[in-house]
Amino acid sequence: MIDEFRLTELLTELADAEPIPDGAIERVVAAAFEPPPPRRPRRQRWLVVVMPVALLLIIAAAVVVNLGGSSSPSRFSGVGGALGRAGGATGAGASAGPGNSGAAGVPVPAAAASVDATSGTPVPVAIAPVQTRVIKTGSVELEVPRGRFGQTVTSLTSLATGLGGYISESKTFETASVPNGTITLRVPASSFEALLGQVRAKGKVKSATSGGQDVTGQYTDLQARLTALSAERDQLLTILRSARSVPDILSVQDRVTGVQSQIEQLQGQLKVLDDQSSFGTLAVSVAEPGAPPPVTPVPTHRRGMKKAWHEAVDGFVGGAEAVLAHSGAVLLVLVFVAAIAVAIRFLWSWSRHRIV
Amino acid sequence: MSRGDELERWLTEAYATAYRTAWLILRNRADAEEAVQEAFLRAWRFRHSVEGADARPWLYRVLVNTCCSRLRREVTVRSRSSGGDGLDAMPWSGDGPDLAAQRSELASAVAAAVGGLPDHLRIPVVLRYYSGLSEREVASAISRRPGTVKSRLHEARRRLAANPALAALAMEAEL
Repeated sequence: MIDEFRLTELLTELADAEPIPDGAIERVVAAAFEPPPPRRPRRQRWLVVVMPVALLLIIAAAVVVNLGGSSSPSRFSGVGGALGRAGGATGAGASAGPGNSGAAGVPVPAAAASVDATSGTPVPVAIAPVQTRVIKTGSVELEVPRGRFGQTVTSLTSLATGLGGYISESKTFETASVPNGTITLRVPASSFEALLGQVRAKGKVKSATSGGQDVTGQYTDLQARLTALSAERDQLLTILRSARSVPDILSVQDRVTGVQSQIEQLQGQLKVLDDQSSFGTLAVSVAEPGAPPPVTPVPTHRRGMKKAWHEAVDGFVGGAEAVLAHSGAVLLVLVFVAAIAVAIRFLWSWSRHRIV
Repeated sequence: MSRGDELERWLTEAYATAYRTAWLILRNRADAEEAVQEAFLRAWRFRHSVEGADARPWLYRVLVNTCCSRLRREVTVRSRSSGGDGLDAMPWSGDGPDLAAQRSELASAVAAAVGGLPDHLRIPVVLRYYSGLSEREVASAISRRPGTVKSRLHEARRRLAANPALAALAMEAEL
């Protein structure tokens, strides 16, 4: 270890041998009192940090926006534009939502919009009248005189068929000490009130409920979506015919399959709604005096707290699905944010590089 | 006393040591003169902010910052032009052949040894053993803790002692 005193001596000897430049002090004095030179624009070190960060943010935003609006998939090299426009037709159709319900039995106009497949601009379509759709349900608890159970059941069956309907479900217990049973009648919606009145006349009504749910909006919405999807499928088929390369053909076929699947789902939902609104459903419990309380069948549509509960469950599942569906984009954003953080740290330490 | 006289008196007192400090740090006369002038001008412009306090450590802090800015620029230029070779290999420049010839063998060995130290060791060594700043003042000048300064000085002395040329000359001097 070199001695501190010796080191001081050596350094002093070395430095003191270095002559002071001539006139240096005078130059400093002169520089101190001369008017300051015009200031040069200062080198903006913060720009070194800010510019790359801004660039990264712009790229991230562009990526996110591109992910969000994936209406023009790049893998459809030759037919991407046409596919994008065909996809746009779906969106427009789907957006023609509910809101066309009117009074029961009164046809109301349904406004629908389509999108021109070549220009992509919305094209108004003819306003078609829409028939109001109401799901009618009810239940009646009847008490019939002793020995009249079988006859009542038979007459209820005749009543339903006489009104153009049918028995959708029947459970009778005639072997028990007190015969009882439940029959679910389905008749055309227009005859539902008549059925209800005639059923009530068959015995002593212990309880009765009836109700209706207007599903016109839902029905119209499904129809509009179906129309739009059908148009999209037609467009895709046209594109498929003009596609030449194998990747294009496979891509378009994928899209056609997807759209066809959606069409079939919508058709199924429409069919169910159509059936439920075309025929009213009446659950009739028939029992002779002294029978145990009948088990009322679960109504086909929910109400009150049960409905709220099921909507809550549906909402939870839907929310979880939405979170999962967007997790990819969120992950990408997080990766970008992490990259930006690392870049800032690196650039900052670089710009603050210290010698000592 | 006018302001010009006041500045001149201050420069007369402090310029020589400050210049030689900068020369030991930067190892170049022109750079040292520019750095010292810049440091004195800055210090003079903001002299009111240290009125009453000891201006010497503050002046050296400004001087070290100015020198570091020049070294940083030098590092950037060198790394850009030659792929970033270390400063340790950088020779002392600005000396004419006559002065180099006049310099004693010992002084040359000291110059080479001190010049071979990395900046973060050379600057504390120069401030402590040439400029005469205390360890606390050196710490203030380089914006580091006194403990850091102490360890760097220790490391610098260890490296200087390991320098064969310097060690041989020191042994000769002892004999």
